[in-house]
Amino acid sequence: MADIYQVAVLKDEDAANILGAKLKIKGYAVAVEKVGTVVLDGLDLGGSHDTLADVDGETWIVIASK
Amino acid sequence: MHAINIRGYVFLSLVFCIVALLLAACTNTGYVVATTATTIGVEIGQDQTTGAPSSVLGYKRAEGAFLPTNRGTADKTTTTLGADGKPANTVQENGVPTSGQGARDSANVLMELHYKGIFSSGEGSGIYQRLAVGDIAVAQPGAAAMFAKDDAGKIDSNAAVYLAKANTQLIKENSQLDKIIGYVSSGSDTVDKAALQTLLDAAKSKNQKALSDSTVTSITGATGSGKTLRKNLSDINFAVIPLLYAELPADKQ
Repeated sequence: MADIYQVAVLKDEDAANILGAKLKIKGYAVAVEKVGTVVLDGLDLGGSHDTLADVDGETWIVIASK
Repeated sequence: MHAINIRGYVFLSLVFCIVALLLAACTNTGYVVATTATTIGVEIGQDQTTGAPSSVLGYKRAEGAFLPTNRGTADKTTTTLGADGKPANTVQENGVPTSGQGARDSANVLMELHYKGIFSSGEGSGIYQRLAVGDIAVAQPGAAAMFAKDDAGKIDSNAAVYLAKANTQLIKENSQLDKIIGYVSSGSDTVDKAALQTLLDAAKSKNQKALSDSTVTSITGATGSGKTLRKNLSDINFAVIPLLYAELPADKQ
């Protein structure tokens, strides 16, 4: 079981890959993927429910765990 | 006459195994010993009828590291008994004060063993092993670069660019983090929660979305020592670092 998951949604490929590299340096296992839409549901923990997508149809998601 | 005959073939041996992959990080008082011992052995049999050749490949590697840590040691009293069974000599050794972090301060060990195409001599075949030992070694950009390389020792050009940019950003963020920690802890390891809250409030007033209530809670709730705050900000909430740094007084930046 991972202790920490980090999830970031970005509209820029370079920013996503740089963030991914930073997380790798910090010891995370990282996946950077291009997606159309990202749905984040944090309601159960008192957070928010967000549906995220960039206008050009390309959204980048960075998922990291360690 | 053959010593061994199975269906017309003499099967001398086929051994393909990693005999030993031992990674032992044994903590002891005041130091860590990390050792690896790797053996890959391949011995291929020969067809006695056709005369197909046999082949032997061996790889053996052993390495070790001895690392002092800041883990404390206990006071020790050694008493030597005389011939009469009574204490004849007593030596008192003072221990090293503990950091209070116990095994958390022990060194990390990061290791990778890879083998590919060991039956061929073509491009891409080979064996490599990488090892980084110590908190600094496994976390520093150099280790990331080392482990980002493929089995040919090359790194994808795009990955290299991203890694360089990430490293530049991290150096800047670490510098900012040092100044934030220094400001809210005033040189001690105890965080001044009021000073931290002031920073958070100022940053939140300018960027409400970046500093949600849950983010502020995760920062302030886990804060006890400067070390904890550093880990929390740099690991969980590292995106907040530039926001807090911007709120530092000019003479503290």
